[in-house]
Amino acid sequence: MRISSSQIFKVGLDGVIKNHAAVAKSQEQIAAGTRVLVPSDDPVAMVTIQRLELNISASEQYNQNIALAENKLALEESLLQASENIIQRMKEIVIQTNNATINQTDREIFAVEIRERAQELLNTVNTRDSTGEYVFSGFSGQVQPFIERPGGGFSYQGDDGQRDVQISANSFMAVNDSGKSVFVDIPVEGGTFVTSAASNNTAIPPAQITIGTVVDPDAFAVVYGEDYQITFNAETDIVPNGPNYTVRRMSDNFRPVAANEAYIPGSNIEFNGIRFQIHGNPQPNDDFFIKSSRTQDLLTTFERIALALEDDGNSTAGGYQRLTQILGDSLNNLNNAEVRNLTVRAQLGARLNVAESSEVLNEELVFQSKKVLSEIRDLDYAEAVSNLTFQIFVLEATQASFARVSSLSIFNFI
Amino acid sequence: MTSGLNIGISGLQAQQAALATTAHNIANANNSGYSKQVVEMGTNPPQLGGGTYFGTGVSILSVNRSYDPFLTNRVRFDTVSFNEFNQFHASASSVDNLLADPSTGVTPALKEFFDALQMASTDSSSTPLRQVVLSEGDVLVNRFGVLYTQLDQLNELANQQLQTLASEISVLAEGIANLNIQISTSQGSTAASTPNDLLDQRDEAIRRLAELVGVQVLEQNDGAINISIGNGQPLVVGSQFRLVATQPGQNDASVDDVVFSNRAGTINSVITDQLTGGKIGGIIGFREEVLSPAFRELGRVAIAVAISVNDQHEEGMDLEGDINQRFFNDMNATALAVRRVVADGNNNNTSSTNINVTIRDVDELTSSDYALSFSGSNTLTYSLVRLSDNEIVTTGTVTNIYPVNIWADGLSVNIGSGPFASGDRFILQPTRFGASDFSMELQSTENLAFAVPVLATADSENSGTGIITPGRILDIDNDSFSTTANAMTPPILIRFSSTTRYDVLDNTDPSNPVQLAPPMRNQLYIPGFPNDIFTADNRETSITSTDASVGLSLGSANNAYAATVLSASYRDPATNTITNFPNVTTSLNDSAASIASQINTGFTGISASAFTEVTVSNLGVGTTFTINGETVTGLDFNELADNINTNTTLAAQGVTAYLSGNNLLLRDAQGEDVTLVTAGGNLDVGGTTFAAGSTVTTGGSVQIVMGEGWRLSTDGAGIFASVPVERSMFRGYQVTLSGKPEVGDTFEIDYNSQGFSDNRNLLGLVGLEALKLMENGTATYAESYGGLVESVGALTNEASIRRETQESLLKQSVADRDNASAVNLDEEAARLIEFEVAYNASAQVVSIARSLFDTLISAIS
Repeated sequence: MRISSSQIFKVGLDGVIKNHAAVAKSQEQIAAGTRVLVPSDDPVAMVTIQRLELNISASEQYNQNIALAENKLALEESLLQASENIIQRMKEIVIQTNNATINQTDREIFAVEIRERAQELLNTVNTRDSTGEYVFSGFSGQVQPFIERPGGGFSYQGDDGQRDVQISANSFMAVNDSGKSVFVDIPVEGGTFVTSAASNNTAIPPAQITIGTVVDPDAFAVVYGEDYQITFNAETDIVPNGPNYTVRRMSDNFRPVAANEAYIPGSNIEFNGIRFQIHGNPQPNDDFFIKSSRTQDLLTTFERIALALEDDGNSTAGGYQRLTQILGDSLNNLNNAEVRNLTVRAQLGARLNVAESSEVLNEELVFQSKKVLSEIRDLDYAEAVSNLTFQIFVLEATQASFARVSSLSIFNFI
Repeated sequence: MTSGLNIGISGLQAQQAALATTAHNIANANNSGYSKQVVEMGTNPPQLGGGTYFGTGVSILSVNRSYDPFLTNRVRFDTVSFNEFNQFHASASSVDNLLADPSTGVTPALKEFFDALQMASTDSSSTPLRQVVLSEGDVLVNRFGVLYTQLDQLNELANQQLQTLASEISVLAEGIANLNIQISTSQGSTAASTPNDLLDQRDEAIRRLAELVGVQVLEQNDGAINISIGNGQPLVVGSQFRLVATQPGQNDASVDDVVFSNRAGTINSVITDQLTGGKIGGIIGFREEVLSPAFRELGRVAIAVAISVNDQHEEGMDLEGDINQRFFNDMNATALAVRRVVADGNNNNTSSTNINVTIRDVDELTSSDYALSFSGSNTLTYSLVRLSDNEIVTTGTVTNIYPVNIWADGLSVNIGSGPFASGDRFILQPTRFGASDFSMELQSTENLAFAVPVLATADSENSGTGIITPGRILDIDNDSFSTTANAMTPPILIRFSSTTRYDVLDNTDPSNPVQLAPPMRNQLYIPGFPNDIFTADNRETSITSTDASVGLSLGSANNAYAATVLSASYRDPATNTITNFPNVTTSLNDSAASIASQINTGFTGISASAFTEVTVSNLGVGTTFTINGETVTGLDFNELADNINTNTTLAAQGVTAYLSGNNLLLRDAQGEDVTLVTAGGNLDVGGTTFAAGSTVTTGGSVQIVMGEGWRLSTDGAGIFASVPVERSMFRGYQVTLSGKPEVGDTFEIDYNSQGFSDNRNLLGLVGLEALKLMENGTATYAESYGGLVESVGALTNEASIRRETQESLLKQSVADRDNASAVNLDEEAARLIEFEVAYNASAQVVSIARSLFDTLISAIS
């Protein structure tokens, strides 16, 4: 066969170039440690690689979420622990004071401590976390959950919101509990009541209604479930003229419970086993409401214990018996609050457990995905290096043979 | 004797020519396309002398080239294929490298964006975490922008390459035409020999042309060669040739077309679609199979991200209490929608027509371009063709009434004005510019809307175990949110009137909740199961008959409702066919319950319910009265209500009593008439005072709920207005109640005004990452983008394999041609020696002839 001179050079050169390219590719793969450098190297593997990388990144993100959630839950747990200690101390006080040998002075000293403890609890439940959000105000993280009400007691400003974070591809975990569920919606023995002033009252400054207390549970039990409206009437309705009010059962307001009672600021108003006070100068048509309730917030429980202790239990007939009754009920209320506290902490513990197992699962997923990823994408170094060695050997052989073959010419001999 | 001398001289001449040809061969050893030349020698005619023929030496017949037309053709053919795939591979590789590179690909940026959202979900009001979300949003937008720019540069590069290649083709065509002239002329003069070097030059020019574009070659009798490119478009005919150039594309000005033109620059015809093979074929193939799909697929992902993230974000509430804000830019802004339409240059009224394309549904959105064409005379028929598979997606007619909206494949083609003429054509490019249109709209961390604007709460004083979900948004554009800024209108109170019935009330004044408009009273509750409170059908409407108290009829056991004729029709939303139903005629004194039942029977598809509520007030102490024949007594309202509720006859009828402030409410859940006979004093019923002993019958009201497409009309005689007012039942949000609420339990739904730590909408945003929102519910954003990466990778891979195949084929055919035609220097060296020896021998012949001559002369002298 006849071969042209240019062909001899071309074949040699092509061989060198091709082997150079193979060596360069192998070297690039070895340097990057991966088999698939661009999608065209293995389009199907590249799509799998991208999916696995997404899975790994997502699982790692879930674990980051879990770490942050665990911080939040740990803070909540410690706050609940602190509040439980306060409840414990309150129970001790209630048991100590529910004793005939304790005199009124001692009771009042205890009442002072109770108010201190109430403040401590208030500080605890109004704690902010590291990002400045209130722990117990639900979705309303910028709103202080519990505030002291004018007229005594506390009210909850937050909401029912419970925030979730994603801890795995399909599961979410709550990272907070609303103050309402932990400290407010606590069942009480025999029911209680909630006082409030109508928002459109005209007195300036607005007249205040105290949180009040149930002084006669038996009498209250008869009417439990009813709501009351206290309406201030024109001063001319009584003789001598002066501020006066009518109490009506809201379901039945043409038979007032008490009609045209003269109003003395700060004096006890008492009917159907409940007692409270109104302070200030209510104007005619100002309304106040009493609503029956099956729940009572913990701070109000504290306040009501303090009020009961301050009330001179020995001064009136049956006063001590009433005090004993209130303290006994309060102890039950405190127990309910403690049960709620422990229940929420049990839920926290369960969540932390779930978080932990999810974390392990996520890590396992990351591990598995990385393993598969490595199988698909990573280079087999032994194979690659042996390939490279062979390619270099071939390249050197090509170069050597090219030099030898190209120097062959008859002209050398003419 | 002279003959010997002459023979010697002829030998010398012949060997000299052979030596010269060998020298020519050696000189052209490295001239690609050169064919080795060989001198053909022949003996001179013999001389007859004495009856014997004597040879007279040698002469040169011709110089031939070693040439095999078959091998040359094969080289040409393989050159076309190799260059096509080589070019395709080179161009596609740059896109291939771009898409999956961690620093330029979209996947990592998408991941980072959603990771930033995940991080924010733990502390949704944290400013630093919100800042990260904004920054990662910027990165994502930027990544699409960079990719678009890179693709755009590749497109620009392809245009420049086409322009260069076109002018090279023109130059080669001119050269071939000139060679044709020279070859025809020279072949015409001396038929015996061929202009070898000219033929080689022409073959080489054709081979170089084959590198640029696929060619067909046809040899003529006069030696000229005609060349056509593409689908037989003549490029060179004899001495004539055409010029090839580029110009901005017909359908897309950014994609240049290849055209035939003349020296004056006048365009004869567009040949882009006819060209295959060679570098031009490679570039055109790359543009069609890789670059344009990449633009469109990338644009589709950008549009899907922008629209779906915006939709979710708009449902959220930011730290300032605002809703309905976009996160990314509006992909349906007019400027963008108009840019998606290109009118064909041959259209009649391009200036007066007004068409734009908006995206309705990213799930159905394809990555194809579309053609909208019109045909017909007065009433034009339009057809919308999907260009990826040439499928007609929809057809219809337009008269001169605009606007017309054509909905297909997730698009809305909005024709704002005409007129159109038959033959008008528009190219629609819904996703072509998506990646460059993509931008951030939100700038401030406070405006990130991570909260859901509704919040439902259970009342603290509830005694049952009812649990209400916080609520979710179905449609943020509902009046519930748009009536008043930063508020929900009206706030809602759900109040249970029994363990299985509840009213949904307008809680604008919390001290006096009133019925909603349209009312939602006496709704059925199934304890222990999740109960959706509101309708999820945004086209569900309601008609309410006149209020119950109007049915008061004094001194009668009947409600005095007049007979009435009700008509109903149904328009199918999909087909627009209208079905009329037979009228329903109610009789005089029919109860609301009976009217509702007649409507339910007569108009299947309309749901009617009846309800009677009687407000009794001004009750004296120790009231006694008769309800539906049952006498009831009570000292006060409580007792009266208790006695009514424990009366077994009344309970069987479904009559129940409730207390409401000063009033006693009597309800009949079925809408039957309630007849009272007052006793022992005046009584206010429904706001009217009746004397003792009066008989008062109260009829109920009927509420009708209709799905989309239903219409109801009446003759106006009965309890319905003649044109009943339809009011939407849809409130734009949904809450779900479960558990077992007790009588009197309430649940409030209101604007989530202070819920700045709420992350529900943020979780909705986070969830988008894993939702299969694209390609008819089959692909997430990342998967859709992955599809692009895979298809480009596969095309590049395929091109690489075909390139290698073609390369070895080309090498083989070049080797075959070269082995037959190219110069082998060793061979030439041997020839050189051979001819030299022969030359020397001929010289010896001359020398001997001379010495013979000398011998003879000296003998004479």
